[in-house]
Amino acid sequence: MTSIAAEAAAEPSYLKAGYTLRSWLLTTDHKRIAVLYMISVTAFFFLGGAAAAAVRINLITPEGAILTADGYNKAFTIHGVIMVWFFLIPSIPATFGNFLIPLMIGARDLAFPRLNLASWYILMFGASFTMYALVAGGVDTGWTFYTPYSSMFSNSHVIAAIIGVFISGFSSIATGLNFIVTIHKLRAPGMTWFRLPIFVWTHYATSLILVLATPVLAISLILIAAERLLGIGVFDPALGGDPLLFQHLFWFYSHPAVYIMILPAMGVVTELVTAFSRRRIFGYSFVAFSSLAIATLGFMVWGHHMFVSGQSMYAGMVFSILSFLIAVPSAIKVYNWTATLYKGQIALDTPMLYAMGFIGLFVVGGITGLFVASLAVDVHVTDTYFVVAHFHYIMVGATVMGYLGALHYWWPKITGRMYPEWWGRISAAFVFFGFNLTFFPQFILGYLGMPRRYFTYPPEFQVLNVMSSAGASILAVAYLFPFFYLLWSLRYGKIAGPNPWGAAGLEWTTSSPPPKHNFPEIPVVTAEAYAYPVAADGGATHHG
Amino acid sequence: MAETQLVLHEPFRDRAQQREADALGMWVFLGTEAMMFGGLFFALIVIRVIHPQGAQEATDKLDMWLGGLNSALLLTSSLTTTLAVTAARKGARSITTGCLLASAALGMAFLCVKGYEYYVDYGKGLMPGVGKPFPIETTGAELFINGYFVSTGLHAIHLFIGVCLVVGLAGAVWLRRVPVPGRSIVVEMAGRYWHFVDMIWIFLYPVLYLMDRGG
Amino acid sequence: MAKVIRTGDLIVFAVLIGLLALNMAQARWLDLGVVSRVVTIALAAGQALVLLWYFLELRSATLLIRLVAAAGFFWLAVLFGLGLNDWLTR
Ligand SMILES: [Cu+2]
Repeated sequence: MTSIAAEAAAEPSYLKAGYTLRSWLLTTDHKRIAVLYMISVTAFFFLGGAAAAAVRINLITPEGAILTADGYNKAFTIHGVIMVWFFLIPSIPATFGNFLIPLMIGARDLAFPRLNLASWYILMFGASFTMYALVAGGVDTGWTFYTPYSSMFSNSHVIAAIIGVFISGFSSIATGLNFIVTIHKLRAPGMTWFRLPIFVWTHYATSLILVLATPVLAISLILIAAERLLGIGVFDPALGGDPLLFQHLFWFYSHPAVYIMILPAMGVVTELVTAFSRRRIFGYSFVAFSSLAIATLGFMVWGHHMFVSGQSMYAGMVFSILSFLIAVPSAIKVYNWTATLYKGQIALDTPMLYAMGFIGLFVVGGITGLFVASLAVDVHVTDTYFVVAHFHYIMVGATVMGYLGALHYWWPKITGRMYPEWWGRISAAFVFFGFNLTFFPQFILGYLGMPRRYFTYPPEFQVLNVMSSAGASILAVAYLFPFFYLLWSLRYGKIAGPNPWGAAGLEWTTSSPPPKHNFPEIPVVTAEAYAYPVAADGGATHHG
Repeated sequence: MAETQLVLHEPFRDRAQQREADALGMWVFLGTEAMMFGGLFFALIVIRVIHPQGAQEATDKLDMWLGGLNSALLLTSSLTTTLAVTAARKGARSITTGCLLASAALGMAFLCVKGYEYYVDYGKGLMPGVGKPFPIETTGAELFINGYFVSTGLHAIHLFIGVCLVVGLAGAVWLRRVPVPGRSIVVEMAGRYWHFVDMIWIFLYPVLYLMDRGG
Repeated sequence: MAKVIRTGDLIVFAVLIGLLALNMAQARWLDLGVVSRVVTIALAAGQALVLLWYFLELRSATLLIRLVAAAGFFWLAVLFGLGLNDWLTR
């Protein structure tokens, strides 16, 4: 026993398992693939962010400061396409999910390691088409590719862009499939479903959406391509087609896709809230099952994007009621996080600041979601900045907060180094402030009637727009801080032990960074998740 | 024991675990395929709902006998695939190879009939963009026929992939690259995919050729 | 060869072909009016279930695998149900 452990302990960390470029590009180690994903999505994040910057600079003056109408359309389209499919969708699952799921369940790798590597290459291959569309002259349809504009009228590079998105979908499917099989089949002995960290539950729910929704996006993109190239007419009223058919298929994917973005972040926040209040999650099974409820109900609300599109009034009512229902499992999570904090020993380290920021922004985004889920209010705010603000509170506010929280919390595990705490807290505060200054004014703008996707606006909206753009510049700087200090920490950061936070969870029982095969020997789990208190140097689950 | 021939891959603790993981992965993959074709079926049904008249006239232009022949070919190929799986489990190498090749041949026969049917459709002016002008005036008829081409085309691509897969597998079994019964799970998984492609056609045929057919 | 041909498989095959013939016959020669669409789909669904249960071996599959198959149908039902709900009530 000891000799095996000693031999395995001698195994070098996954970072030292090879130094060549080849050892990275042909790796099947889930941890290295996670790092490849992290580098890629960071690049996409800054690219999409640059497009957002162009949009916000343009909106500083009512007549449009820097862009033509056409250039503006292309800027917000590329912002949306890159941020949705090349940053948000892969962000937490493909990086932290990839890195952590095998560690958290006590496995050596994902079930299909080569498929995992392939998924990264597929994403890169898809991205190359979308990048081609970008440099060849851009796309101007908006990220939603609405027909019949995208299928019959747009003269921009729609085909290249949708091929890129289509291909990237297979990357999502491969990742989701891998997670599902891994979570079902590779849990360590004793790791029952109700001993899993909530992070794993939310990634399981996310994977369900990835494999069930993405194929429907694929077919709707195939139909756009067929319509554009062959004129098959399925979205063309002249031949009897119905543009709304596209909206139904598209939102059957794209509403659940919002949960692909938010569920993993909810998992992250559960880990952070428990670790930094040193308490077991309040109402474990409710939090676990609410993830599955969100994933399932999430498929039944898509028509709330179509209230004013001409869908039947009856369908609108059904979708409205179902949209209200999905607030219930989301609220369960929020209540349970706050109940976990109650009487906890709260430590406000950087990850916890992001977690608190997540909860606040998610509540604002969620409650304004109820506004737009009610038919009458939605008629007033459809296609205004109110909607823009609402979904940015969820997709940027909540998800990016979750991403950054995860990045700081697991940074010592991934790199073996601590980040500088003071800089971390300052940036977290700046992100929170900059985000709210950017997007809160947009609620007011939208409520006052400013439509989205216009490159000019009436002069009376200028003050709020300038506030929003000022907030965006703070946000941009706040996002750059971690980029630099985390890179700095790779060389100069304090060396991290196996469990710097004194957190529960199998990932903290192995060394930082973990050896190539994760654990000296497969752990045997005997305790429930979040078995606090945990000694800062030890692990929650003793074994071997 | 033949079981020892099974190669154990990295993350798995034992063979049973690996086998279950492979089976589950295959089923989840088939689930994604079902959702993709589901979107297409949804579009076809919507066209039938909005344009019952046009869709019916279009249906009458399709040859239900050729389509029916194709259905029978694919169902027969499913039988030979089942036989191949049984043979593989029993370690009958040459029978496995033969049954797989029979499935591939039936699949190719399907594709030939389908190609002939497309040629006949072309002659009737049904093909989008080429040949004679479309013969039916009623709204929705042309749309429905275009839907027929997209869905049968996507199905044919899947079937063609299946044929290539099965031919390759037949060769691998024959050459003992995939030893049976040790790695009969590979035959099993290929069979799952083959049956699934058959199942798509089981729905595609009635939705395209039979539903609402007039005199 | 004889040892791999099981009577059960042949019966299943005969049932599949029989359901196909039935479906073709009712489409060609019977005018069932309003229930015709339902009958067409029901016969196809019958074929699919036989195929799933026997040839795709759900019969001997684990509960988990059966759940995966059922989930596929459930989510398709959501797509068709809530989607058609729009066109059928316009
Ligand atoms: Cu939505």
